[in-house]
Amino acid sequence: MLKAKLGRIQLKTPLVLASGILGTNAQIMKRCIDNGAGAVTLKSIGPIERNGHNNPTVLAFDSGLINAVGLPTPGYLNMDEEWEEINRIIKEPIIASVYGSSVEEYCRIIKYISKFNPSIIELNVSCPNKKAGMAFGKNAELVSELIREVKKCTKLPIMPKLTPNCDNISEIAKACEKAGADMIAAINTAGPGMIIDIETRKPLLKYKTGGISGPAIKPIAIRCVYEIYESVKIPILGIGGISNGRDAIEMLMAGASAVGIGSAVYYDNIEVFNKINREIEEWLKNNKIKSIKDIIGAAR
Amino acid sequence: MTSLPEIFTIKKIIDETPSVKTFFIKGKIGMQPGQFFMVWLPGVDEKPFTLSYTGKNPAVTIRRNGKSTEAFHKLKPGDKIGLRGPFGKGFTIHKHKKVAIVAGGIGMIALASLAEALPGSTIICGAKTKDEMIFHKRFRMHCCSDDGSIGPKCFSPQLFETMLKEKKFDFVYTCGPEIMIKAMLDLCLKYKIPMEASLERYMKCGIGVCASCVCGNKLICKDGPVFPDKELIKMDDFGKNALLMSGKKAALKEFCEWKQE
Repeated sequence: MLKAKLGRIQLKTPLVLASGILGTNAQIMKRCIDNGAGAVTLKSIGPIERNGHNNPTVLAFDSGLINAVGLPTPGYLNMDEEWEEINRIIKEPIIASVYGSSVEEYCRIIKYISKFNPSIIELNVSCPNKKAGMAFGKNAELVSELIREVKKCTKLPIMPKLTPNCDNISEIAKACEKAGADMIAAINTAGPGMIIDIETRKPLLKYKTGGISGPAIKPIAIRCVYEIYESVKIPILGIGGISNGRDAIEMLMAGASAVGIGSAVYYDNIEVFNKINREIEEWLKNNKIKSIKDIIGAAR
Repeated sequence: MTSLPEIFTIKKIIDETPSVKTFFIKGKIGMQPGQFFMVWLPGVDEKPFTLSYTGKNPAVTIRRNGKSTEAFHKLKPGDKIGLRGPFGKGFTIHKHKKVAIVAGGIGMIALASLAEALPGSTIICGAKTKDEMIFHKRFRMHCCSDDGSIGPKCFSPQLFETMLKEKKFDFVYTCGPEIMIKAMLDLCLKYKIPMEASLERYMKCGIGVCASCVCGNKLICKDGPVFPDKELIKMDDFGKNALLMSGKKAALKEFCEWKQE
């Protein structure tokens, strides 16, 4: 009943561990799979080893998380052993998220990691915490060129992850499809935002600003996915503030083929995947719907 | 479910050793022994520390070890710090058992609130030298040192094993360098004494989402920092590997050297 498909990729459940949450090693991703995730995303891989920003990097406020982790990465050349472990213990689809500051950098990384055969390459062109990749995600021409070049480097499906922080997300999505993207992930964090501590009169995050995720951004994510679904034919991985079964169904109805789970891990721990799966299943049963695919885009 | 820092003013600062200071803060804040807070030094950094004193006069005790802890050591009474938490799973409190609390170096800081919750427990603490011994005036403890300047010249697991010849323990709590915790786990398995240990990794979020502090398939910030023997033996990275700030997996030795930068 919970089986889903993202393009040609079969998923045992529609829930995908979103990039930037938990995906630092094979074993913790395996634990997400064991707890009901249908696929997992490895934390964004960059060109060289990078520490990211200093703490505080992640904070929970009333209705979501704010983060400026700053794209820490071991660097694509320092991960061979982890890839071997991933391929040894994880049997469900792996999404490799990649970021760079130039087309050449994206291509170099993607060529190299393609040999480990992840199921999907996610192009992070939308992180608000490092200027690098962001330029691509806000500009239809730049992102098209990036996708065209990247497609020459790999046979693996390419999935750009789009930012909501633009005024034409459906245009960007259309450009991605035209350039050869196999699917779209949307959305990355919104904002950036800021939280100021009034006692010390200082921004709390060390980087001062950070991307907003969690329940606060769910309506933005739903709107973005709805608009993208109207303008492209390729499948959408819908991400942004999904914390329970009803949220996930809403995202599927907006037009997502599968649903990313990120900040919800904060509210319900790693067991959140099983919890949401149960809630989806119950809703489907109560409404006499046999399959996830019967509700994709139902709100249109 | 907000978890923003609560701001406290520093009331009093005590030099514990040449490299360790205790910062008492105004106000009340509580935790279970073994839990921790993300302690924010505004504009500088945020790091996980446990409360070394709880109750009416709470305090954090910090060793100078790298850039940001150096900045902590420059704080003066009246300065403000933020505490976000408490986070994690603390120690199981066994009130009616004969327990041993075995510390290595500043591991004693993480065990101090436990020692207060379990008066009458046997405390064993090892340090490099007498000067570096922490809380030996606060608690009655069996000391040992690397150079023999206080107590016998040995590590705390060795002193613990010697004491086992005369004393029986029903439960053991430990914290210290991971290699020492590993030695304690091996001893406890050998003598069939159940135990719990508090582990450390580089931490970012403290709330179970970033997995910077991952050890095997466990999150130190959420599943731990306290783990029982049954879990320790299943954690592949325990005693071996830790992630650096970049997320690169490193041998524990490299991780410890990196922390001092």
